[in-house]
Amino acid sequence: MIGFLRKCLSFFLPFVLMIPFFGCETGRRLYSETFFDSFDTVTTLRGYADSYEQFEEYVELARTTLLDYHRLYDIYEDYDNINNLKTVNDHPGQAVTVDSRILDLLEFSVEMYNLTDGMTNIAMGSVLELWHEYRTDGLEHPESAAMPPMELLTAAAKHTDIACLQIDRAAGTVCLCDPDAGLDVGAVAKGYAAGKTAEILREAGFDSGILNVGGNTVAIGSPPDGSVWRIGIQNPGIESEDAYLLRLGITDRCLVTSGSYERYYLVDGIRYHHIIHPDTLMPEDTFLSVSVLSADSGLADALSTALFNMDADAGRSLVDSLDGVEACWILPDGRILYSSGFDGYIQD
Amino acid sequence: MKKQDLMLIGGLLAAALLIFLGVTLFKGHGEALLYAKIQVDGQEVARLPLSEDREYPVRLEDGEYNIVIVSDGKVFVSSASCPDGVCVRTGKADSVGDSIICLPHRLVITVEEEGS
Repeated sequence: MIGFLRKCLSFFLPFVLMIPFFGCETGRRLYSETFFDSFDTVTTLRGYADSYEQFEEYVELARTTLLDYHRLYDIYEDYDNINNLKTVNDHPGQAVTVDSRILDLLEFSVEMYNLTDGMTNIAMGSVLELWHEYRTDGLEHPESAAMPPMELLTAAAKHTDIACLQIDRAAGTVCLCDPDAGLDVGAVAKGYAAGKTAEILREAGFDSGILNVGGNTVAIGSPPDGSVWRIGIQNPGIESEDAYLLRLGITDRCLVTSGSYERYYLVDGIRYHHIIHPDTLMPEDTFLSVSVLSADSGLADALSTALFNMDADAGRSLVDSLDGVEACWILPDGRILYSSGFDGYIQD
Repeated sequence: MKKQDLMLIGGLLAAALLIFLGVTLFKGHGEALLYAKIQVDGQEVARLPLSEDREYPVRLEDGEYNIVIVSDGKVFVSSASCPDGVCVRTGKADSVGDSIICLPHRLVITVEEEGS
């Protein structure tokens, strides 16, 4: 018996001695880089790589991929030799030949329209354009800032039927049949492109990191020690000096937040943010922000906008009906509502 | 069991404990070293340890500025000349990966851990 014990001990003790060292030497280091050239926002890539050179290759891949998506989904600028969404908006009634990545996004957006009962509608370009114009003017000339007149908004809202978007997958074309309608993919494009870019990074070998495109966060894999990525939900302006209100632990999952605290302008001291309700045609103040967790970045982006425009009960039943989707709503009085499985991700 | 065996086992366990404590303390110490990395337009301009209180004004070429403060282990922007003030209203950051962003000035402050 004692001899056996002795053998066991002499066998295992060296391993016991090694335990403290496990997980210490992975040879990979954490890098992080930030750039500004796509989707009018800041993109951060952080993650593990074998060397700085290797990480820089991933950064370059992320940068060029996002820039491609940005150009295709842009509704404000023309680019040489590509048909983008501005080309589609500028040629109503014509079937415009577009890149398959545009067809993919538009088909996905129609799916999201159906899923959210029209609460994310990429055919709301006519209404959003008015708000964009008044917001831009209001930011440049705060003293004369104004709201778009309701007559103009309701007139524009007559041209927001998603059915006027005709996608011909076989021919590779898109046609907007109403000359007064316009596409605006602001509610889905960033999240969708972030998800696609993360896939491309993963295929290139980047298997442990976080891609954040202007608040659309995609967690790729887990940290090398097998733990979770800790990401914060920003404080949307409730009474607290902390930048982050909640900390979540996630792996292979996306977090997207839609909030009233980011893009807005002031008219007579009142804040008008950029998320416009498809029915009231106004920015709603039911929530300060809505965050969505999902394995699908595009879905998380589309849902965060839709939930922002829905009441909490309807939003919660939509979220609970979807597999693997969780959400949290931050109210102006500081209360936070959660979907049924959200607390499983909260840290601390 | 012989006396030598007990001594050997005891000795090895003591050694394991010492190494474990040493590594844990070393790791713990490493984790405590947080700093705020300040980047302007993607270029790093400063690293401010969160353990040292200080004021760091970021001055841009055209007279624009963001005043970065490190205090009590947290970093924040106390004032700025940007039109939206989002960086100031963002508040205080203190955990690895947290960021404070001033989009108009292309300023990004991220909390990082020493060694990355």
